[in-house]
Amino acid sequence: MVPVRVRDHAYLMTRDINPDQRTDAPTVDVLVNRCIAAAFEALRSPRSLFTDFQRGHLGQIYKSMRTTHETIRDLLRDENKSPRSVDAIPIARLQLETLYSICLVIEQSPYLDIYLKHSGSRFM
Amino acid sequence: MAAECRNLPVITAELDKQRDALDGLRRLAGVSEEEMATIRNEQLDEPLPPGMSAKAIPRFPTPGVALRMIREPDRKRMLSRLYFEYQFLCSFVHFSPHPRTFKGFFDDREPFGRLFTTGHLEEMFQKEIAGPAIWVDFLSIVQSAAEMVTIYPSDIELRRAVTEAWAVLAERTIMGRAVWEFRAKKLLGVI
Repeated sequence: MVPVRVRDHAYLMTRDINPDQRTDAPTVDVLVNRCIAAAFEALRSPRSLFTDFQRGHLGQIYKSMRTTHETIRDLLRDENKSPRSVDAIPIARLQLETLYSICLVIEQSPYLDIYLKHSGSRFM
Repeated sequence: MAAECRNLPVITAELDKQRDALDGLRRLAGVSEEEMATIRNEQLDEPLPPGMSAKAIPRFPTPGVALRMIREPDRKRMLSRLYFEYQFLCSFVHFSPHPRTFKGFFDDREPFGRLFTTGHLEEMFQKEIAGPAIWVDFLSIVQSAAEMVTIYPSDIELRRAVTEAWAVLAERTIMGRAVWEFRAKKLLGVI
């Protein structure tokens, strides 16, 4: 694959970020739940890009992201008292991989079938 | 499992009981008879039925491969920027010192953990673990929902939900601001 280089893809910031500004976890939870509910509801409406079955499955992918979000929150609840919290990082990777996959199936919907077939190929 | 247990009658009988249900799941997932026969041919050396041609199921792309296949320029730019975060997260999955070092730091039974003050450990935890995990998680969810705007551009609720979430993301994190500028701002019509 072509190497992804920082110099090609970095965004040069023009405004500072306040590092002391805090966001409460419950605030994030509310926003997460709203986004997932909105995406799930949107997917109830037919679109030519996806079949009913595909839309149903995409909706489940969004719902699954909420479960993973809750897992990450649970792991981080112990704060720095528990080394188990470190495992929140590999679980966050699942969420980012889902974003890449959603971007791909939106552009090339046959990949949603391939995703499903891969799971189905285990049932032989 | 069936291949490994084919000489075990008790296990094979149990697997046979599940065959119909599993076959239903396979059909629901859209795996055709040809694709199933091809997998059995490749994995178990079972010959294809007469007259049937092999039809393999392609692999679902990993993020690195998906990135190469993405066509929309802003989306590609966003995913290229996020690839740095992806590589960082991968370093905690593949065999590397990162996860073991931090687990040692945050474990008060380990000598490493006693090298730091409680305040220093808390700061390290926020900066190296909690921050990246929660922000990558949050951004991935919000932007996954935002990408649906390309399919449902007139869905007001969807647009409102992701715009509200982006107001937080773009102000609180460097990574979030980069993705906002590269992709989300234009996608949501906030110019």
